[in-house]
Amino acid sequence: MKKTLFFLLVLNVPATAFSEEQMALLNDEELSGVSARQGIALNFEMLINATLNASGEVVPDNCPTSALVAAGTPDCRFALQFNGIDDAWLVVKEYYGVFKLNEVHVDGVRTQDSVSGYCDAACQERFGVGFDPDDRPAIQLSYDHSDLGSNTAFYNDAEIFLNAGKVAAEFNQSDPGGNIIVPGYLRNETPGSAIGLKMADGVNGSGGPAQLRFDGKMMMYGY
Amino acid sequence: MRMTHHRKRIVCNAVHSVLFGWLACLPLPGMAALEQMDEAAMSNVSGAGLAFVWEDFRWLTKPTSYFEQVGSGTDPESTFQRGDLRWYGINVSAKEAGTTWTETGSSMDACASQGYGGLGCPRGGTISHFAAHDNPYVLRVMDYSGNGSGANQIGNGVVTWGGDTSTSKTVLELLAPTSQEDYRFSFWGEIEAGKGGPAADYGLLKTQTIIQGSAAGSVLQFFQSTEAGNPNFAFLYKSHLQGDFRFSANQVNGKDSDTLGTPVQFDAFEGMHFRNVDAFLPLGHLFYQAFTIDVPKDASGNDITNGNFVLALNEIPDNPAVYRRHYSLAVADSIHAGYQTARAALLANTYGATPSVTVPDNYFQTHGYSRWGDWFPCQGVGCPAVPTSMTVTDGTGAIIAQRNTFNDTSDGIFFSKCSGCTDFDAFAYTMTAVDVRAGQSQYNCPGGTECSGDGYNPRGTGSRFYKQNDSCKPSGGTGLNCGYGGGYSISAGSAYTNTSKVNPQAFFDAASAGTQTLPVIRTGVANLGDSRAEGLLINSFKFTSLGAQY
Repeated sequence: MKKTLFFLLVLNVPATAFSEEQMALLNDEELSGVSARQGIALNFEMLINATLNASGEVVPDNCPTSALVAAGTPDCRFALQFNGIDDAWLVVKEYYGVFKLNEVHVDGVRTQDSVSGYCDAACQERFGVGFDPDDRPAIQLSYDHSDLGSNTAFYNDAEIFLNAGKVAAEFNQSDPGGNIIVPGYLRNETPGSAIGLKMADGVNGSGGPAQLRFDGKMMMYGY
Repeated sequence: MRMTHHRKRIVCNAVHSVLFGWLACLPLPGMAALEQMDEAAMSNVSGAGLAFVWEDFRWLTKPTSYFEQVGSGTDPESTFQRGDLRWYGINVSAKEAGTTWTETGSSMDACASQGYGGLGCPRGGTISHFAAHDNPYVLRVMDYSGNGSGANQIGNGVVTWGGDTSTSKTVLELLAPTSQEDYRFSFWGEIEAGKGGPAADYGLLKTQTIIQGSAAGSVLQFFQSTEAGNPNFAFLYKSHLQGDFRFSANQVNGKDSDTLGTPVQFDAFEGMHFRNVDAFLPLGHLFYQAFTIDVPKDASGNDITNGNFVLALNEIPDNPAVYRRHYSLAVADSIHAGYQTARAALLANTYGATPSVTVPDNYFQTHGYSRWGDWFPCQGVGCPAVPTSMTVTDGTGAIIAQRNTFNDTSDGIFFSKCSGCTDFDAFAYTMTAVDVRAGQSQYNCPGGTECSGDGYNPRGTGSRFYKQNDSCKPSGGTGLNCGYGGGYSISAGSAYTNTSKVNPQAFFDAASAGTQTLPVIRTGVANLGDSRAEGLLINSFKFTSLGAQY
């Protein structure tokens, strides 16, 4: 029986987030029925504070409101703090997104067993003496485009939506003793910013996530 | 197939995943590029890494998918508002024949023409060796250190902010291949103008950008800043872009659109072209200069809490060891030393030139350059005798260097009309050679007056216009008195004609106002020639964001 395997790969998701919707592990017998056993195909989806509405648009979801957080932020955020700058946060506001890979194939392969002609002297210096990159074990990621023409308008290999509405520095609110009352990442003293970033498809994101096609293969090995 | 939602309110961890995903799956073409580093000379090496190989690679973004980079409005008078500036259809593909941004049914529309050197077609096929298995992208951790050379020595160039030339520091680095197959990077853009104002003021500017070439040798490094009092996260980036560039706006009839977000087909020839570009921009150096992020400070060094943040490449410290490596002068320090070294660097990369001093290797790590075209013929100190012909050939008769003709499309900077459009009138003076060294003859008379006394003989018969069959024989043996490029016969052929226009000399009070009959070259392409900027040195750079109350 031919099957296509779909693995859900989730990074940094707490155990409590798993549900009955997770797919069950396959045993060895079930795996043996899978064609193309040299590799697997997987789907990867990560939603960050986002969901799709009925029109297919990506919209923020489960973000804190001022009702939920008294001192709070009316949007989803992430914030960075840098070493030596203790009172300020670099805050990305109105932050939500989607990252999906659709049917990416993972294989164990070996690199080409002969030189490519692209390794010049600087390249050889990079690897050092005694290292041979030819015929080396590697992990390979690729997409099956065997049924697609080079000019076929297919863009369903990856989907990315990213909304970073505003980027601004926010400072901790502290008492005279230096104790932090409200950390900068929860404040909104600068409600606007000229800097923002959005990645989407269609007029004003009406097409949902941006869509991408990747031909060829990516291999990774260590040295 | 839609999976269940998984969310985290503490999103910073998820950010790591996103970043890793991008890093692992994408080639980071924008980060690619840059200077090949002599690593044996740069480091005492210890470290290992991960290699990323891309073969038969192509990255296509759907032509309706975009990035936009405008946040909230910055002030009530701003005409730019959120989402008014977008880049669509980011593409990384091969150089050969391909497709446009428009599609018919489920197929991309084929390009009608490759334009000049492939710059007429935005999307191509797959790249065989975007990153070969034996010259991959590399992500690794390395220890770099200076070789302990004295403060008055350049050594291997590595020095801390405090002037230490031997301390070892650990660096996380992403390196592009040192050599890779040429490829095509392109996107189309959209700018909304006059939004929010009267309807008659509203409009869309759609443009196309195509870059073809190699991005080999990129360097992106992360480490802890060595600046005193600023033990911050720091990074540097060295950008080396090589190839051809085109920017255009003309759309093909029948495949055009003035509708927001609708892909169009751009003419294969129209626009601004740059051929044979080699541009290196070093933004930071191990370890005395790097980007860090901070908040603005007042004159007393206190935080300015206006919500803005600063991305800054620090000023180089007042330290002799840093100065020696940063400037990497080829001659003894003097008021002219920077110019003389830059001049030698220019000649070191110019056909037939014989620089009188040798430029230290480290100079090409700390100084950027932007070279457009092949820079032939070289003229001036250190250059060979200027040929009086259009080309120079080797013993077999093969052309090894060539002047740009007035309508050259293979080299240098040129503008082209769109397909089927009428020719335009190009008007130019022949280039004046200016020698600015003290005590040397200087030519600075665009009106052509008072030049003969300095030995300047305008090209041709009484005019300085670039036109048909105009020849100049240099006197005195220098060639400078024919203008830049020396003495040779210019021929615009049948493209030469006359027209009635205002003489630009009128703006210098060197000709009467009003129209007059002027010689022009009626052409579809106007080549401006080549350009060189050498010795680009960045002592500091600061970007401050603009917060807004909207």
